[in-house]
Amino acid sequence: MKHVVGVAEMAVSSDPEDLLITHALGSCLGIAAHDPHAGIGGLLHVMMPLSKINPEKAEDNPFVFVDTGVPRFLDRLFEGGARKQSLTVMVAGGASVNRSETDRFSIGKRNFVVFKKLLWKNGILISAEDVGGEKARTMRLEIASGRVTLSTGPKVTELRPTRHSRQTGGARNVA
Amino acid sequence: MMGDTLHQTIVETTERTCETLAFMFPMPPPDDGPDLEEQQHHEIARVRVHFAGPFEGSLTLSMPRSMLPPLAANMLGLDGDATTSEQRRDAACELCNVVCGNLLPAVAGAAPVFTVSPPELCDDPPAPDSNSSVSARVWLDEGWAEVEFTVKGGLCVLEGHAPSCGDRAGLEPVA
Amino acid sequence: MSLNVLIVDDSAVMRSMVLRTLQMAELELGEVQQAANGQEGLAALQRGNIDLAIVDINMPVMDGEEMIRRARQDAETAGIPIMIISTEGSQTRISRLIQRGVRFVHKPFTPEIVCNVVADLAGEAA
Repeated sequence: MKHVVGVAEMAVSSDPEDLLITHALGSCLGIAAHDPHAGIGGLLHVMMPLSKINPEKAEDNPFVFVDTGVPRFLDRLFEGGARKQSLTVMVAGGASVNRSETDRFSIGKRNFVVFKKLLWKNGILISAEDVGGEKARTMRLEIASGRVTLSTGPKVTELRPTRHSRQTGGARNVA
Repeated sequence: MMGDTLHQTIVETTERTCETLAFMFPMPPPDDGPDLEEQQHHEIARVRVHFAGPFEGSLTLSMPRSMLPPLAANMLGLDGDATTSEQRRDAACELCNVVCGNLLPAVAGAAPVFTVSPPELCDDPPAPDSNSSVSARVWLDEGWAEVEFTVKGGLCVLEGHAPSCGDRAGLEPVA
Repeated sequence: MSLNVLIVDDSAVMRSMVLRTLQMAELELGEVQQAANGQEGLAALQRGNIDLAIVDINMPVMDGEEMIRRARQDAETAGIPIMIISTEGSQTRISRLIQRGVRFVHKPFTPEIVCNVVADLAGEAA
């Protein structure tokens, strides 16, 4: 069953029939996490880097912010049986979609830095990333396989996890 | 490489280093400009390294002492108050060392070999001298960092050491 | 098989960062020794039981380049896989070190890059 994850929302599922999808990832980050051993996965769509700019909003909905949304997202996965050692985490988005904004101060870049800091703190590696650029992305996660695909317009690519190889994983074209 | 170009190179190198090493991202300067009076009341931490190669000089990194706890915590993946004063000093020293190591090839090109001294905390502020030094401040989410790059014999010594276009060895990870 | 690792860097914070990265990698970590300069690092290598050495270059007392040169001259330590993690930006020096059979990762590093190189070296050591 297809579940659409809205902006500042997340979904976690252990139903192998489920497909999680989130649209319009501009400067926002889409984070897909999957544990093949526990058969659980989740998709998170966060908007802003730090909750300190609006703690009330973070209290109301922690998934607006990277620093409050990602820990809760990981907690939900761990509560559902996921283990850190077998968790595959992929990230996409963080684009500079507002051309009037200089790259140096872009929200997308800040989102990604805060996300990397949280993973470092939690001892989790990024398995694959497709971050930056100027285009909005759609991200999908298949719960059965853990397969993550991205689309920008009609073009669909697969994010493939790579560990133990010389290159960090990235987007590749899907035939 | 002179004046404005060197200033920009220092800014970019410092921002990139702070982002990758310490998960701190660049911010716009405060709206009302630097509050000089407030800055004078900040306790400033200073670290210096000396380098010697085709040219000699020093790099001094200054930052408010209030930035040391988050700097060390970010680097170590710990909470802000969980680090010791020794770790905080060491983190500042390592940041200075890495900024210098990345700046030298950006200034002098990829071929020259430099010897860089172990970083040391210092009390004396660098003496501004526009003939022999360039200083640049970057604003970060946790504060600011200022780099003073001084060349023995004056900045004119750098003439002839400018890296060729795209010669940014040392700035990208090599695996 | 667990991997016994030696981390050589004059910064204790950097040694902790490297150790944290190793703990994130998909490998069975054995004993981890630390040294603050090349001389201490060389002594640790000569004591034996090191499967992988991770070495900085610019250090007091003895730098990493000299440590590696001496390690490669000693039949007991010549074959130990070595990864350099350093701010070194001189291609002249990096090439010289790579010719000694070491892998190089630039500071500041991402844990993903270090883990990938460690996995390669662990595979070679196995």
